[in-house]
Amino acid sequence: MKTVLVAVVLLVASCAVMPDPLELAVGEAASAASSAALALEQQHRGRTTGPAARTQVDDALRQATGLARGAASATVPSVLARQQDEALEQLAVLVRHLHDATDAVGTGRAPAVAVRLRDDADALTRLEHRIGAQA
Amino acid sequence: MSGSAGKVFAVTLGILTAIGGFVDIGDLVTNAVVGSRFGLSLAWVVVVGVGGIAVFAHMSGKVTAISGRATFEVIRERLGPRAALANLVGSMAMTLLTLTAEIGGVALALQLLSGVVPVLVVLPVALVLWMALWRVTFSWLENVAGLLGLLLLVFVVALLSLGPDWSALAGQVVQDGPDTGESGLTYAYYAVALFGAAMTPYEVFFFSSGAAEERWTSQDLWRSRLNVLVGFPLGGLLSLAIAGCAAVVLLPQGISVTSLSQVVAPVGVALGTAGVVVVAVGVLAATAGAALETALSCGYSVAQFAGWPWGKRVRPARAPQFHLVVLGAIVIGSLVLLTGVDPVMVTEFSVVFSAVALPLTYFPVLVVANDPDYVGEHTNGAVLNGVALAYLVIILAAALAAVPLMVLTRMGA
Repeated sequence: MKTVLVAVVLLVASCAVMPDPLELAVGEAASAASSAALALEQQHRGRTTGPAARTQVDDALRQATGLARGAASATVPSVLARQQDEALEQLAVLVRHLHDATDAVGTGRAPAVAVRLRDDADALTRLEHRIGAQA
Repeated sequence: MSGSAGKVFAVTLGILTAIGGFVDIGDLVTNAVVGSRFGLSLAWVVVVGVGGIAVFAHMSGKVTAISGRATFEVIRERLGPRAALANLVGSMAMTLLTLTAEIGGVALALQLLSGVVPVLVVLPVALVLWMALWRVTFSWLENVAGLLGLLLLVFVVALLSLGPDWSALAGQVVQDGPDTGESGLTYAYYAVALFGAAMTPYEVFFFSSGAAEERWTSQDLWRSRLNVLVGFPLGGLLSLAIAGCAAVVLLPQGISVTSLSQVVAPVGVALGTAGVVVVAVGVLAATAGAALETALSCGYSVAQFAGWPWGKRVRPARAPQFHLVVLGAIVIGSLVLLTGVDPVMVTEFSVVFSAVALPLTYFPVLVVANDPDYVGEHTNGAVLNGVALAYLVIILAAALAAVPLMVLTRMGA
């Protein structure tokens, strides 16, 4: 009984002290976008290997795909409904750009895709701050 | 080689392997995560953790060298079979989790080097690890893995090459708490995780059992002291360099580390393609070495508890149970990874539960290190006991805080 009580208290407390899950997901997506952009930039400059760059981009794609799924199924407070829609839209764009990135590794298109990913990261960071202010 | 030259060679080799063998997948991932999110503001935890593992390893090495008995033999004798069994189950679960993370780390390192999908190489990696444990002598395993692990010093070179603003980094080191928009609870969670990464229990099982494998006596206590007082702190510097690289390259770009590819990325920024190759080989060596050590530690723990013949110095035919446990541990770790679980996630669990499991073995070793029946005249002095008791308090606090912090912060999210 005591264990259950402690668990409940911890769960309630975690909801009170931690940022909203949507805010966290958007922040992590911005990180994934920057990571993939860094990998493409580094390989274009000849400062990393093909397998290492591809792994970094694949990792970002896998992370962003998971975050998009999580954001789609997340239940958010009504004040964040509009931000959730915006987040889903931006995450879908990011996933599309990350698919482009996997094709662009080691090609001349890498710098252009990296620029798009940097833009995605900026947009997601702005959205993260708006969600934080709203929540 | 003359006697004195041989001695110098043995000392140097011991220190180098202690440095190269200090960093494993837990240190790599946790230091990089912390560096990318908190800069160097948690560097103090690495210093505390290195001090703790040095005290713990020194005491257990001393107990083994003088009494001839390794950690779990002593724990069973002192706690009795029932309490020791509970202790064994907790420690084994922890070591198995760490072994799983290390095998996953080998697979991820191979992905960085060749692009191969990690899940496809898990079984071949497991087979190679088992064959190495079956065929290769203890000293070769220890020395080759430790020396190749020194390739990770490329993180130190990378940090120097990045030419960071040293005063800004120093400012992060002395700052009080997080300064990057992270919550205090998340900071505390990563403090515990970093402490767990630095003080992984298997390192001590391996250190003390290795002392028995190499037939240390009281004459060898100086080797133990040199390894833990020189090798471990230098290994800790390597951990700080990993965090420093992440703090300089990833933190300003808003990249929070969630994968091994991100851990090595700053080395590419600093040193280019050659640096990436060197660091990937270093990660491969460090994780493979740690996988060998954790697999052996599983065998050591169970065999020592059960009173079976154990060790690489005993022919496999004379220690079949020991080798079966080692094989079983590798099989279990591999099967877990074949489910597709993320090795980095396993690593994050393993370092936190390291902190939880630590008191199980630390406390009995501290008691025995003060028992003249085991260590004769070499019982802990007043200073060492003071430090060891202070660490007992820290270890208990970390063990109690670990799970609540994990829940409260949703694993540091």
